Amino acid sequence: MNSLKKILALTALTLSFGTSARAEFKLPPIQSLSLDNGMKIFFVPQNEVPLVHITLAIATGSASDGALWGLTSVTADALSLGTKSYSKQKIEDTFDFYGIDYQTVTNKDYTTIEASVATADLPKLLPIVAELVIAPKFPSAEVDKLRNRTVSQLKKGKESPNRIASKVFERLYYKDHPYASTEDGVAATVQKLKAADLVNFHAAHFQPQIAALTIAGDFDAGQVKTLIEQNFGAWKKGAAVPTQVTAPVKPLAATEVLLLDKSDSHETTFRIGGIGAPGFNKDWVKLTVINTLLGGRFTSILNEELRVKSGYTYGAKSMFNNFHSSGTFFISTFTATETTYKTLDLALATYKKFVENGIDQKTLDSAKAYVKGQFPPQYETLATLSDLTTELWAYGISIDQFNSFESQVDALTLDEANALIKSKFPRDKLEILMIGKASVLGAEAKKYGTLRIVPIDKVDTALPL
Amino acid sequence: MKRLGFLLSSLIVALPLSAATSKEDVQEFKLKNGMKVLILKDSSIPNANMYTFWKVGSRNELPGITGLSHFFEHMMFNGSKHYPPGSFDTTMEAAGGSNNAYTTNDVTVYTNWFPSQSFSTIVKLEADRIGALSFDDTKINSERGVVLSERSTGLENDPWEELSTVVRSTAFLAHPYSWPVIGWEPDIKAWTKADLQHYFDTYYNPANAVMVVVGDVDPSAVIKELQTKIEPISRPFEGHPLRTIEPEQKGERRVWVLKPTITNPHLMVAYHIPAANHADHYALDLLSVILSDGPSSRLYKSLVDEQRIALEVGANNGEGLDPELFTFDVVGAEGLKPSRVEKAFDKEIGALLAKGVTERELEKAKNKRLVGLYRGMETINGKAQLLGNYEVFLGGYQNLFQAPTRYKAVTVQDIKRVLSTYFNKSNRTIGILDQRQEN
Repeated sequence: MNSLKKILALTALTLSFGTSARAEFKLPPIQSLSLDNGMKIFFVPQNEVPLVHITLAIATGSASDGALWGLTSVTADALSLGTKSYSKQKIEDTFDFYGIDYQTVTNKDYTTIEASVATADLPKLLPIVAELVIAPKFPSAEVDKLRNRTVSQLKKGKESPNRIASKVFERLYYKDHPYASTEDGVAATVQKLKAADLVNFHAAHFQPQIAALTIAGDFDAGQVKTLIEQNFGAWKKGAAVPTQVTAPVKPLAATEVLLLDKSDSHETTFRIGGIGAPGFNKDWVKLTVINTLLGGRFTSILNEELRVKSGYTYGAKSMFNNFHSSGTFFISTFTATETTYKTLDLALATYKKFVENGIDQKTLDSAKAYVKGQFPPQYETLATLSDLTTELWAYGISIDQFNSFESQVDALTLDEANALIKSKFPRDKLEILMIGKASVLGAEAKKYGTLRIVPIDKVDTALPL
Repeated sequence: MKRLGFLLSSLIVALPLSAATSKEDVQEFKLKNGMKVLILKDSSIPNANMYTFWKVGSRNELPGITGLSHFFEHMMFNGSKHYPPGSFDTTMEAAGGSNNAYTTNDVTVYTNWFPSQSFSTIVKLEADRIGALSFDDTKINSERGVVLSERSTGLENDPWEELSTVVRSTAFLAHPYSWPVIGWEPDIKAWTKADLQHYFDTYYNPANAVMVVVGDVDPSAVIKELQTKIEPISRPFEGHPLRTIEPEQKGERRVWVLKPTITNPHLMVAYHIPAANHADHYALDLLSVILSDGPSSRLYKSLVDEQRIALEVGANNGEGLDPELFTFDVVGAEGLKPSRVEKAFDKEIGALLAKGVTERELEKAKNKRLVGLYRGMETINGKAQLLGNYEVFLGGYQNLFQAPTRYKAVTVQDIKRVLSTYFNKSNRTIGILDQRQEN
C-alpha cells in the first residue's frame, strides 16, 4: 500500500456519513531527482493497479513554432517514425504487443511524450522512449506520410465547429502574439514542413537540461532509477533554454465580432471572452471556485439561463484557459441558427449582470462545497497524477502550493470573490466568435461591435483572422 | 446524455480487472422491492459514486415515441415530490456532488459522484425521484428545446451521427434498434406528459434496476440507508419482454447519404452479430482489437499507413441485450472515390476470411485487453461502470472477474469461426457518406 492509500485509509477510520470533518485531500509525496545532464526526474508512487504512467516533458511548445505553426507538434508525433536502433514497425509492434498506450501532446509552453504500461513491461518501454527522444531519425518518406495525414485531419476538423472553436477563439485573442500559434498547427503551415525542419527543431530543443521525466504508479524506485540512468545518462546536455513567452498581449480597443461562415451549418457555435490569467496564478484556486458558479457546473449561472430556463441550448459553460505567462477566459455555447441572436443577447446580459452585481453567499458556499467534493477524483489516475506533476514543473509551482487547494477554497470570502469578479474577469471589449451560416445570420452582429464575416476555410491558414 | 457529451449508441467496455479487487470484495444485496444492489468498498479517495442501471432504452420504444427513453432521462432531473424543478441539482451540488446520465439502445444509467459523507443526501434525492417523479408542463417544453439542441449539435459536429443513423435503420428492418437513441425529430416535438407517465409506471420500477455503489463507504451503512429510503418504494412488476426479433438478413444492403461540404468519403460497414451475452462475444471483441486498435492493427497498418487509402479506421463490437452490429468506420483519403475505399476494405476482409489471424496478433489483442482492464479498474467510476455493464449485459458482475480467463481461452480457430459465421456479404449493410453519389 502506498502512502496516499495509507493516509486515506487512516482518514477513513474516522469517517461516517455526514458526521466528522475529513482531512484535506493531498497528492502522494513526490520524490525529485536529477541526472548529471540536468534532466529532472519525478517519482509519484501509487500502487493500486500494476501499471506505470510515464511522461517525458520538454520545456518548449507551440509558442516556439515561429511561422511554421505545427512544427513542435509534428516533430513530437514524428519521434516514433524510427530511431537509431528501432524501426517504425518495431516500435509500433512492441507498443501494441504489450498493450502500451503511447501518445504525444503539444501545449503552448511544453511538449510531452507519454506512455502507460504494465509495471512488468517498463524495462522494455524505457529504452525505446529514450531513443525516440534522444536519437530519432525522421525518415523523410515517413515524415511525408505523417504530414499529409495531419494536413487532411486539420482540414477535416472544420467539419466540427465545436472542436475548433476554442482554438480559433485563442487565435482571435492573441493575434500576432506567439500564443496565437495553435498547438497542432494549421493545414497551410503543416503542408510546408519537411523532414529537415524536424531534424533541426529536434536538435535545437530536445535536450536534457530542459526535460523532465515523471514516473507515476506501482514501481520499485531503485530499479527504475537505474533504468533511467542507463537509458538517459548519455543524453548530451546542450544550450537550449525553456521557451519563455514574455511578449505582452495587446489590449483590445473595442468589442470585435468574427463570424466564420460555414454554409451548411444549422446551428451557431459561440466563444465569447477575452483576457484571462496565467497558469497557477496566485488567485487560481479562487478563480476556479468563481468560474464554477458562473459556468463550470450544471447549476451554473450561464447554464441555468441558457439551457435550464430558456431551452436555447444543450449547454453553456465558461472557462479560464491558462498558459505560462497569460491566459484567456471564455464562455462557450451553441444554439439553432434561428435562435442565434436571442442566445447571444441572453449570454451577454447574463454575463454583464454577473460582472456588475457579483454573487451571493449561498451560491458561493455551494460552489466551494462542489469544488472540494469534485477535487479528489480529478487526480485518481496515474495519467492525471503524472500530467499534473509535469505541469507543476513546467510552470515552476511547488506541490505545497497545490496541496493547499482545499484550505484556499475555504478561505475565500464573499467580499474577496466579488472583488475578484470585478478585477479578473474581462468586463467589456470582448472577442465574440460565431461559427454559423452567414447567409441567414446576416450583419445583425454589428450591434455588438466591429463585425467581420470570413469564410471558414481561412482557419486553414496562419493569416490573422 | 444530460450533460454536454455524446449520446452513446452502444457501450464501450474497457476490460478485465485489478489484482487488488476480487469477486469476494463485491457485496451483493437485493432490496425487498426487487432492486439489485452491488457495493464495492474502495477507500483510495474520500469519495464514492452511485450508478443506477435501469433496464429501459430505445429498444423499449415504439414508432411515435422514439427518443422517449432519452427524454425521460432528462426529466428525471426536473422535479419530484419533495424537490421542485432545479432543486435536485442545486441540492446535490451544494453537498459537493455532481451527476450525469446516459441513455443507450438498451439501458438508461444515472450516475452520481460525491464526497462520501454526502451519501445520505444522495440517497434521499434518488429515492424521491424514483418514488414520486413529477412532470411540470413548463419543464417538459423547455427540456424539449434542450433535447432538440442535443440532437442538432450531434449532427452539426459529427458526420458519423447522420451516417450511422441511416445504416442502423437499414440494417434493422423490424427490431427497435432501427431508430436512433435520440429519436426522430417529429417525435421529440410531439410526445406528451401522458407518454412520460406511462413510461415511468411501466419501466421505472425498482425491480427493473441495478444499483452499483463504489467508494469510501461502509457497505452495511449503505444497505441500511437504502433499506430505509428506497426499499419502501414498491410496485408490482410484470416485466416487459420484447416481442420483435430481427429477421435474418438475406443479402447485402446499401445506402447513400449525400453531404456536399464533406471533405472525405465516409464508409460504414455493419454486420449482424449476436447479443453481448453470447459465447462469441469474447472472440468478436478480440477481433475488433486485432483489426483496428493501434498502429500495428490490421486495418490501420494496411489502409491508413501503407496504402494511404484511409485517414482513419475503426472496428466496433456492438454490445446489446439483443443481437447487435459489428461495425467498421472508415474515413477515406481526400479525393478518393468511395468504391476505391470499399474495394480495399473488402480485400482485407477477404484475406481474413481466407487465412484468419496469427497467434501473435491474437496474443497482442489479449494483452491489450488485459492492460485495458487494469486501466478500467484504476478509478472508482471505472469500477462502477464495469460492474454494472457485466451485471446487465454480460451475464452477471461475477463475469468481470472471469474476463481474463474468457479472453485467454479464445483461439485462432475461434476467430476464424466467428469470421466465417458473421462476416459474410449477405449479412451486411454498407453506408456511404460523400459529396455526391457515384454511378
